[in-house]
Amino acid sequence: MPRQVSWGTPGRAAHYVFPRRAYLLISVALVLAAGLAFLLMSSHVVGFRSAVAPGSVISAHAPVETSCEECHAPRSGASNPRCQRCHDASGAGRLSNGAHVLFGSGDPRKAAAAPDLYCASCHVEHRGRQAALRVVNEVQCVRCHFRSLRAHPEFAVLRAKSVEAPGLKYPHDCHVREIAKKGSCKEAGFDPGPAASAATCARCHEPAQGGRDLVPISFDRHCASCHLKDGSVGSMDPVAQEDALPTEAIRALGITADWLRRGDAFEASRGKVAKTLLRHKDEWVVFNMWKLRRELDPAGFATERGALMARASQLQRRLALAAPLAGLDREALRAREASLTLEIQGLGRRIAAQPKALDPAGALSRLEEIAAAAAAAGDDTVKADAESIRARAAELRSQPIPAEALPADAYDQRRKELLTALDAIDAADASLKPRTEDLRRRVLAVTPGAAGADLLTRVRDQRQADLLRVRDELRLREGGLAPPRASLLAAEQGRVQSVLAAVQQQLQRMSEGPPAPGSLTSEQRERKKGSLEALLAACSKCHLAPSGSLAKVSAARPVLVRSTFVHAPHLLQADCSRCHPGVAKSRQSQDLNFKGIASCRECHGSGSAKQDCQSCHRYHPPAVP
Amino acid sequence: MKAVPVPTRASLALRPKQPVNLLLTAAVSAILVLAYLVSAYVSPWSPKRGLGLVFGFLAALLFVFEMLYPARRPKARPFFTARNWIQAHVYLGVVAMLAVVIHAGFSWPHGAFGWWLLLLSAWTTATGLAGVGLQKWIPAALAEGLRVEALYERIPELLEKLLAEADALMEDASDVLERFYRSEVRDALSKVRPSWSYLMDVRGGRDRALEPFRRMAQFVDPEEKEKLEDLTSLYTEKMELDAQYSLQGILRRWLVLHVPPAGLLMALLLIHVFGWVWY
Repeated sequence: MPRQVSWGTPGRAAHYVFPRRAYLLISVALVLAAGLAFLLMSSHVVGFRSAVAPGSVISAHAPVETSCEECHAPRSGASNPRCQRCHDASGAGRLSNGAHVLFGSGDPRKAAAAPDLYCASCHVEHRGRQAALRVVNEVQCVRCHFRSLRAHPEFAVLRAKSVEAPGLKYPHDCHVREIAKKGSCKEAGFDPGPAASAATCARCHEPAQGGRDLVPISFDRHCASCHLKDGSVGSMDPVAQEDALPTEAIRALGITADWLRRGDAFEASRGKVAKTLLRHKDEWVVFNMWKLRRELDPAGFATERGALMARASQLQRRLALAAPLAGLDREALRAREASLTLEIQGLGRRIAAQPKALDPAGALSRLEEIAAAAAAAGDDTVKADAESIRARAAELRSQPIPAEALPADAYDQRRKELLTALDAIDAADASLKPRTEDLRRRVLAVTPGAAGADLLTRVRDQRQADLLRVRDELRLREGGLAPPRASLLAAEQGRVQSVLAAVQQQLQRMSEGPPAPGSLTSEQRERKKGSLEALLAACSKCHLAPSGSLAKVSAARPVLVRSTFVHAPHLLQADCSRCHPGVAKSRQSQDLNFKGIASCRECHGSGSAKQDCQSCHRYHPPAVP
Repeated sequence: MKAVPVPTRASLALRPKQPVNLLLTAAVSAILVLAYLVSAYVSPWSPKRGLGLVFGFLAALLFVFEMLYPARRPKARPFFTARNWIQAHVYLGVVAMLAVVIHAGFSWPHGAFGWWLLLLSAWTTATGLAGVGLQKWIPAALAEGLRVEALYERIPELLEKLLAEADALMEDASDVLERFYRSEVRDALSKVRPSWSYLMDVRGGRDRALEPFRRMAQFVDPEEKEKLEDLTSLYTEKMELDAQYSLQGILRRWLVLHVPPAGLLMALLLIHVFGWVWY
């Protein structure tokens, strides 16, 4: 019988068969793991960190890619102070969530209550060199706002039926008619570009070259061709010579402004003076307008000046805070840390003492103290102010303290009084100026209905954030990290400096001229009122001049302050009248002539155009508000 | 009477041993994905915060549990049976991979480290699942298709025996048969010839390999035909041992593709966790 293939195991084994070692493979795996872990950790320690990085950083951050500490604080992740080190060099807190809430709501209390957000929660790094760090996941917006354009509320400016105050009397209807009469814009030497149907509008609303919006309206570019006759904007009635100073008299006061060197014709007769040629922004008129206004309404003048001074002081403070962190050495940083610690302790004490601030004895005694200091200066004006403060103190002493917030009018009145008093103290004793500047800023920072403790708490929170940054900077310096490049800091400083220069120039103009006389007789007051009206007669044809002062002109400025609407691409798609119907019939400059969110939804809501938040809105407020 | 369909080996290999566990895993996976969708709808998904971080923790813990699989041997009883261990190892491994993908927010990594983490996780999971399939497929194929059964370690020794038996058989064979044996058979009998083709068919290639024996039958004397049949039987047995060796070898070696990469994954995981804690 032939051999068959065996069934089952063919025979017994000659010897014992040893099984495989049970833990051989896992041992090999663990040895490999330990080796790799050691290798990667060693490479990290010696500075070769890209191997363990979760991904490349964007090009702008590439120089600090291997220096993790530039952005990451140990056990804290990518911390906000490290981002702010370069991106908010002035320490204004502009990039915080609180600043965003303040930018949107304008309510400091809401802003103070806003939770802190990590910069890195929106701006996710390590996504490659070309990643767009500005583009954020919009789900973050939806957490507080709405989910789609359909739910977008009407624009605040329309919802509140607020009236834009452009500071001008500007009926669109007659201007549109006049421009239309002149024929096509090209004939008039003006090329409106491809949006030919927008030609009439584009006569004044010119798209900015490479800019985001329209060129601001300028008298010389847009109005002068019709409103200037022989170089003059109009005429004025003669005013009393003692109310209006001719250029020689202004020069005699030691004021050597550029405009004084240019002589314009004056006509003087019978104690009155008139200017025969009134230019736009005529410096003589503007100077005398300020002078008369200061004499007629010192409180209003002080409020305006106070607001400007507070703004200047705020900007100066930001500038002062910007430099040290970048440029200070370790000793100076320690000194800054110590001073901030002291300031925070002081603020803590003041917050704790706030409940006693409403105690009449305490509050009024401070008022008396201020009045006594003002009277001691020996100046008649200051004395009069001191008397009025003393009288007000006596009046307040006898009154019960109101439980609820002051009405808006009373609040404004009280604020004016305080600012006038501060002005008087300033004039009497220059050495008190730093203190009055601080007080002025604080007076203007308080909003109606806000308790002093709220403001102090906000200030304390800001100082604490500053302190954290200083301590973080110290840690970084101790770790051997260099401060950020000066050019990074200079960008924001430059913006602050240019705004500050403009504010200071305005303040300078308001401060020029002889000091205001004391109280006026009713005859003097009437005469000066008449002079002011005569001075402003030509201006008032177009400008609004409430309470004897020209209103700030903001014609055709963007009204959607929290969005970044760019006209140019929209003008390629639609005629102006699609979003701004009724312009040709509008008779008031306050008319917005704007359909609102409905016009946005026509294209963006139908899916034919993008409807993401970032296309129109920005999260962070601008560098200089 | 309706004929009952006979299940194919492929369907048997895919059929779970514990369908409840499969359903449970599917349900848990669905819940995890749903949790991700809801969370990503209400807030931006981030692996570093909130549910994203929870998924990261979950994946890390599951991977550590998976690495404890070798501990089943001394610890399997009385708390767990070996069967429970392997079931947990397989299904929780799948959940761990899903947790990794959700942790990353269903997006591709942006750096080499992230890619290594993802690829090693995917590789380890894929090789693990492939191993599960092989462990179901190969034993069934060996049992169905072969007569010979042999321990992997004994196969070389059994081959030596077969060779000795063949040599003894051919001692008094005719010149023709012996020449045939020396030139075409002995070399093949002397060493194991593993092949991947056995994975698809354990008897594959047998007809073609035995064709020379059938051809030879025409040239040998009638009294030597029995010797040739014995030689054919020896050769067939050797081919079965080849199949045993190949398939058992695959069953053992797939672990090399699974376990060391799992160890490397542990190393990267450690660095990843360190990076998260420190930075």
